Amino acid sequence: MERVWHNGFEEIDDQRRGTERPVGVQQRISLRAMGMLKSAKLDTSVTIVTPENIEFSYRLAGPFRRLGAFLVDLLIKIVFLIVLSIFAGFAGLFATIGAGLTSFILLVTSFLLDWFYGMIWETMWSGQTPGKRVFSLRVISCDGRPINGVQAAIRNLLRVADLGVPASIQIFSPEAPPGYIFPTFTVGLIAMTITKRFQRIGDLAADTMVIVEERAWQPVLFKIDDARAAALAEFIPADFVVPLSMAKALSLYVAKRSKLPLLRRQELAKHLADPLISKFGFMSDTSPDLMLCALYLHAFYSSSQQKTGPRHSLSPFKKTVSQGDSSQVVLAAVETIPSQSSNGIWDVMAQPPTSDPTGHSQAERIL
Amino acid sequence: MKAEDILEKRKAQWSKLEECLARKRVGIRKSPWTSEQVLEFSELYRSACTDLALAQAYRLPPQTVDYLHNLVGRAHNHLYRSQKYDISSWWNIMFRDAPQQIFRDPCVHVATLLFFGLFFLSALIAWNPQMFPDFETRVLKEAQIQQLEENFAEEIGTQGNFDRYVTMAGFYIRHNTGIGLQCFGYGPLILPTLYTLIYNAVILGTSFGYMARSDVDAGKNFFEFVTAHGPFELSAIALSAGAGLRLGLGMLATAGFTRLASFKIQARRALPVISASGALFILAAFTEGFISPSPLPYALKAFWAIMSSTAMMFYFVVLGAPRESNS
Repeated sequence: MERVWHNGFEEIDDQRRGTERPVGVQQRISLRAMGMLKSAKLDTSVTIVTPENIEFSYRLAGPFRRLGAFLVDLLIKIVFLIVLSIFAGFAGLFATIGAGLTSFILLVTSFLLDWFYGMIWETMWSGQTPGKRVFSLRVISCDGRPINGVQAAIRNLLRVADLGVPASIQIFSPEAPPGYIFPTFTVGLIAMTITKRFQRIGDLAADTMVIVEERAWQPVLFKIDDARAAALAEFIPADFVVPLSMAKALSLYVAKRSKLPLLRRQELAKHLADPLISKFGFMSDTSPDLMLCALYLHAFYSSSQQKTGPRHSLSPFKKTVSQGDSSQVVLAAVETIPSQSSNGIWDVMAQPPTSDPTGHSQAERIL
Repeated sequence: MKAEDILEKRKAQWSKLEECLARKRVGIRKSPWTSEQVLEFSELYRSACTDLALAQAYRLPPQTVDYLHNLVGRAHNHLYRSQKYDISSWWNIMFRDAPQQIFRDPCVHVATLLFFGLFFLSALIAWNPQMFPDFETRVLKEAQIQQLEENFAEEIGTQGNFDRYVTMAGFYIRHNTGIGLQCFGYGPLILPTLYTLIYNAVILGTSFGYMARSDVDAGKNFFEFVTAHGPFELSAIALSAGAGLRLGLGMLATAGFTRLASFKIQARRALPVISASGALFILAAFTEGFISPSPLPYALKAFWAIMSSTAMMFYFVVLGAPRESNS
């Protein structure tokens, strides 16, 4: 089991970047920088290679999402201080502690909150503060591991530089009392725009980045209610394998189609559906929208075809490719071999699914 | 095998992994996880990794692939963590790396000279009103001087004034440690660090010099208050400014690295210095909280100041002297 698993990976990796095995993200980045890797997607995501030799990607958090987290944290700090001062006021009222001591505690607490709030939370919650948790953000090292205390300390101490250049209210009205100083975020914003991973100066020094870590959603297959789509899908030749990019386009289309008006759907679907309709020899007035739904069903759902065996009599390809019985056998072989082999890989690698008490409802959700 | 079958087959395991993720993180000590649970979790994680790797071969829809990226990412963050604070490495940083670094780091030298030089210079000028009349009113505002005198008008340690001095201790901990941390935090931008350092050196120096004049009554109380924690606090400010300058220098003088790499390297080099500075700030804060406003006799406070200065001297010079093994 282990061996097959590894070999599979080496093959995938070797295809992509010559014979080099991945050592870590550092190497990939340097390779990318040297132009040896194919150009990365122009995208706000970052790829991590884990010790399991798996690549997965994170979405990077931009400045505005992070501003939200910053404001939530600020609010928490302010509320905490207010609550504390109310408590201190009560304590002072009942004279359990002196007024000097209460103000000492308040001053020291506000100082600690100012400087160590982010550091302590990010160390404890490995890269999250309450505000970051609300906006499902997390700070991680650039090599993909959770941050350690030192990194949390550096990036939080350098926040003052990122909040700069501080401006005073006196700039706008000279009569205003001194001391009303507010951050402008200029330095942090500039640093974020010119670095690859939206890093502010503190992130650069600590070698960290902020990623979006969304809560789970369902690994959906979309349900298509239209019975005609299922019927049409039966007529798509079983040997037609939906290419990867088309499968992607199909599922994006199906995800969005419920929000589109009918005319718009037809307009969008036309470009992909029309050539296929003529290719499969369907009626030319077949709805393009319906055609794409049928293709979606064909691509992702196991149809009755597979359960009852291939129905080659319906394949229009057969007429052009084959004349006799012998080629029908070839076609059948071509179609069944990949599905058999993928079955084989599956059985070798994955454990059999264990019994699930809620299996029924989940199957329904999938469908 | 179509996506539907695979989803049906794997869904149960994925939702089990989700359940594991909803639990607390895996811990080393006091782990809330039983060993079976840990084994199960790692098994589930690995099989989710396999699913992700084979997603292309399985022709899973992109929404499912996104979900798997997300699932594996969260499980990865759940499983892996780096050591937070290793005591032995901290001992090394604090008592071997930091003094050595401080001893030979030109940035620390510059920051220290700048801070203490300007501090003593302005103290000297403010102390001598015959030669430099009106110096203190040019640096500080009239109201600030009055406030300062008023703050220290009453004797430390008498019952009624305890509150006032404790409040002041809190204020100065916040204010002065804030200055130090700002000097470090502004480091990458260099100029704000220099500005903060110079500005505060002159302000502090002038206040000290003014208070040292024989005709200022509050002077005695002022020095009784600041003696105990002064050495720790002033050194800590200078040190953290040095660490900040080191960060900024990394941006400017790259020594053949890319600007970014050089910045990271210098941040690592600044780390021992800022840790030492942090330790000094903590010592200063405790001194300021418990000793300075207390009714202890002045001799004891002076003794504490001398002891702390000696300890720092030992730390910077004896521990910091270049070693054969290190060079």
